[in-house]
Amino acid sequence: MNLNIHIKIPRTIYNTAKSDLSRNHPYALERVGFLFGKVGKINSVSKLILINDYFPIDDTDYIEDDQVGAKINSEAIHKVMQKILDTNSGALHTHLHNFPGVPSLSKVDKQSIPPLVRSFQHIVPSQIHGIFLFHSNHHKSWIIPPGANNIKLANKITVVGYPLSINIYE
Amino acid sequence: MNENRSSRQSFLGNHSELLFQSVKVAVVGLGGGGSHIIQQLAHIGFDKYVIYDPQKVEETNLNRMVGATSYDVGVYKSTVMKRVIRNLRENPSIRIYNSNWQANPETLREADIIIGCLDSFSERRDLEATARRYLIPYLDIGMDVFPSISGQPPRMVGQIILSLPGKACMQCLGYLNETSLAKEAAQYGAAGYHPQVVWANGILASTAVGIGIQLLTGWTGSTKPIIYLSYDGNLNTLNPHPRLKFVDQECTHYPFQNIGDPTYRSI
Repeated sequence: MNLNIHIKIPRTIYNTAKSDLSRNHPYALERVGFLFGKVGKINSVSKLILINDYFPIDDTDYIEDDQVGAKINSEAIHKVMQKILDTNSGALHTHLHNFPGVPSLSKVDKQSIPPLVRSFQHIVPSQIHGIFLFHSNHHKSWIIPPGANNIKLANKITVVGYPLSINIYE
Repeated sequence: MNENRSSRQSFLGNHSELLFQSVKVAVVGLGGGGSHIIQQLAHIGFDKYVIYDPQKVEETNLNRMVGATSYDVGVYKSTVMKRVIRNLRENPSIRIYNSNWQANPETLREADIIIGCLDSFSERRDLEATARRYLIPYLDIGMDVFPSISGQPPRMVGQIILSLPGKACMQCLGYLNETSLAKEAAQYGAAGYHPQVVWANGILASTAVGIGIQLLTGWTGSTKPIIYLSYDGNLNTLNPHPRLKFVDQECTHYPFQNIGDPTYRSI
């Protein structure tokens, strides 16, 4: 089934997340956070992901590792999983590549994110989980649909604010 | 410079033509206001529509419904609007529902923006609640004429409200309140007489379309997300509503935690 995904994120949450991810960390090269959202059903092949919260990772939950931009510990993952369970939400791992252009997944992202997303699916399989990448002037998202193995590009992202920002991805 | 259908509105942005073609607009209510709005959206270049109205054209609609003629009496309003769009756009996508939106709410959720041209407070409340639930900006227009009292002339008033998720809603703005909803509910079933005129509908609809275009393109550079304009049809003025000075910017009635499909828990 070719699922059509439209992500909507309020501009206030978008700005909060981007601002948090832009902050320098004492030793990690980049920051990590999670966007939480709920599914809105349109029909059997089209779904909305409606972002309603941003969850930053505490400074102390990062692990020093110069092989990657950021590595977080099991305590951070535990907190995120607990929030998924408590709020019955989907979660999108997010970080910022602080340069312009259309984002793409790095080799590390491709290796490390799918297992994390699949573990989220075990907690709340009815919601949709994935990754949301910020660039300094753009954003893009990939999700793993329930029951699927491969990551899939979100078809449309709307930042809901004034003005409205709509991006469509083929 | 290439002259085409959009060249006179190129100031709206390099990609505005593509934007208008890809944005899906839902219009709920196709009377005096909705018909104006649809005609203008088609002129501007919008190609994707979801339109709702259960009514057929009546003789009484012909004083204001743009696009309708004497030959359309008895035809669904949506059919008339479909014709208006198709006369202006080459290959539009139009989902029409000859019903209230509640009968087909899933399609409404796809909309990038909803424009409501409804008659009652309760209909507005329900539509705004759904727009908030699915993070859709909602533009509301409406007008009324209050009968003359004590020899004074009738009063023609109206409003245009932009209800943006997270920002002040129509309850925050004081437009919807328990008193007006209760009063309306007490009169439920009364057919009533709803005065409507084409020029007032046109002013409100045109202004709403302008607000919608600003929302989509940001061409004016304005960053004020809360819009509540008050129309005085006797003075022919359109002004920011006085209540705006006292309104909280953030909405307390529709928290983001309540977005998404409604769910029910046993208690």
